[in-house]
Amino acid sequence: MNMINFQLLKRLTEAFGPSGSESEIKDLIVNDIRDHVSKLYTDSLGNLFAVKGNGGNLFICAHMDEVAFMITGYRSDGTLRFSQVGGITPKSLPSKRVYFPKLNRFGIIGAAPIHLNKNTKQELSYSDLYIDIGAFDKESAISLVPCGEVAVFDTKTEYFEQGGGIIMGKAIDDRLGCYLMCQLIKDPSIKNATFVFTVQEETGLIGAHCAPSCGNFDFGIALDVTTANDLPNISGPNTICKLRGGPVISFIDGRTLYDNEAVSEIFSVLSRLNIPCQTKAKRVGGNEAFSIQNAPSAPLSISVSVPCRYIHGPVGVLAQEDVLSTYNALIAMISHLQNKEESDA
Amino acid sequence: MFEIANLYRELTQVPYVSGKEYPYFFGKIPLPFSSLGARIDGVGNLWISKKASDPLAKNILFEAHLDEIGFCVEGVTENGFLHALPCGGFDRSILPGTEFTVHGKRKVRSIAISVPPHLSKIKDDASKKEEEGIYLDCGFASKKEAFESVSPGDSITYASDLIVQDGAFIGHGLDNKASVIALLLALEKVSSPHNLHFLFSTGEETGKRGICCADFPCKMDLAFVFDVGFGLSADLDETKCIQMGKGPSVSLTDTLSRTCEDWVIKIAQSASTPLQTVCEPGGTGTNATALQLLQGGIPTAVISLPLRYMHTASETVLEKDIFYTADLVCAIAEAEQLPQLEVSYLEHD
Repeated sequence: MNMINFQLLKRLTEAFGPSGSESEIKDLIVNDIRDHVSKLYTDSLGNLFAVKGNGGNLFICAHMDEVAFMITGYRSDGTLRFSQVGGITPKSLPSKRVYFPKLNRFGIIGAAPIHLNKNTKQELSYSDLYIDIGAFDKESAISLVPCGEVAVFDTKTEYFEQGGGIIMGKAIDDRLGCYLMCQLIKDPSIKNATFVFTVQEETGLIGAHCAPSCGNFDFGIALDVTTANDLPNISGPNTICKLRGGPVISFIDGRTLYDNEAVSEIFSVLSRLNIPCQTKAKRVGGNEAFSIQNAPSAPLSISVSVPCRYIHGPVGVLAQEDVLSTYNALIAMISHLQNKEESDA
Repeated sequence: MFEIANLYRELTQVPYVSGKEYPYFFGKIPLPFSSLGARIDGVGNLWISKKASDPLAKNILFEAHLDEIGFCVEGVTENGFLHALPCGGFDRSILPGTEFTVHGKRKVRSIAISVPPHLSKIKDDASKKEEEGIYLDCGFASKKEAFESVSPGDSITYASDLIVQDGAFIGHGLDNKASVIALLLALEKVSSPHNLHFLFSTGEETGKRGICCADFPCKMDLAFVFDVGFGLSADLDETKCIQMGKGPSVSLTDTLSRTCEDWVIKIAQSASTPLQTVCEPGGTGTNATALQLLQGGIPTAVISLPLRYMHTASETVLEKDIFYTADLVCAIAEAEQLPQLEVSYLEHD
């Protein structure tokens, strides 16, 4: 594979799926993979299970949900009060555009303009912000946008030729993981495995907590996206990881300590095949690998994350070559893990 | 009014301080639960199940935590003052001068020490550092005299008596006895095609410990957690509060089952029983957080009863909100069509 299926990635990233309201993205994924799996179902929490062959001893997951905003109230001037779904820093939100797909309505996040804002020292919090949807009083705001409605960043996903192919869009965390899983599901070299598209990762690794109890797995891979902080004036370990450095396979992160031997082995397998990969330079972040390792069958848990800049914001920046090298790394890893099982047996 | 006040008085005969709830500590089931055929599990949770006649009936769980915040006796000073440690979250600034009941060998009335205004400029040693515990004055003259009536580990609750006024109940522990009362009222009159399980759990205020170890009688298909919500009063953030007297609320969340939450709204509408909504992105801070992850995943929603002055001696709820909550329980239990959650996409599944 030397080109990504950009149209599929575009559809996946542009789909609406905040934590707790994942049905649109789930339906999109169902339609993409239904002809390639032996079992396809959701559990009572909303996780989508896609089984290839007999499900095998390998569990792979990626989360469908994205960070977003929930409307919590109204101001008398017709603007909306809101809070975060998942973690979004309020600081740079003013002036960003949001979209309510179910209502086909746009909004702009506002705060007092800088010319008039005498208090520049205090950190902005959600109670200082509002969303302007064009209503001029509370009653019309209520009739346009009910309380509890969720809005996402208004961003269209685009591909550019520079930098070896660059993708800019929202929700790359973790629709990119979903994209990789959809492609793995269609790959004939993978015969038996259980793929789960999870819910509510951003609001507490909720979906992944119960999902691995659906089978007896020896291995689990959490496919996510991680923050590349390789920006101007940032050096050393504060870059966390680099764009175009290949998949990030951690030894340790903010939540999990990984099996040292297994991760080292994977690094040597990938190096033999000339597939670039990197590790996380700082102990930050956490993902579903944490939930997998706590599953009843205690599978060996591995985290594979694609580096992306500006995650949890309106536009993330992703390199095509990282997507391709991550896909190749996954094929190599899965083959290594599943053959190793056979040769150990 | 009579019924709710009586239930409340029955429920406060024994202390239910988080971590030393009477059923957990003494292994005995007190009234009114014993008269309803309750079962006790290993961590003191009380279970009451009402089975339907259909062997394929679904299982619905209604949960309310039984424990309330309180203190426990840590020790006694030489001069007979009790030193007590908190079990649950308190606003420390309101404690001085507040009356408490120590449930020792007998019920002992006490007052948390305070400094009178004349002397407010004198800073005692304790106020210089972050003290976790409080000192209670029971009037004992010595340590020896104190130990005749109290022992380390004894439970301490707010001493306020219940006031019933103009349709309002004012007292301590209405977080979460108000919800427990609503469930008990529903239990007596509900008639459902589904199996109903009522769980009164321990340890919520000190870490949701009872629910995590609950001994479930079977796999639950649906769960509703009943707790109290912030009743709107002056100075509070409107977006986090619900109105008094307009019925319970369902929390709209990004961490629980939005499908169940939307379903409850429809059920309340068709049963014409009042239901508010409150947005709780980021977590509800209730037993639902733990409950939904048990048994491989239970779809859960949170129902909150409006309450003012939470975690003080004068918690306030309205009688009508307790009745509306009981009506909602019946509407949920009596619904023929439960939310469709598990879906199979391929024909042969």
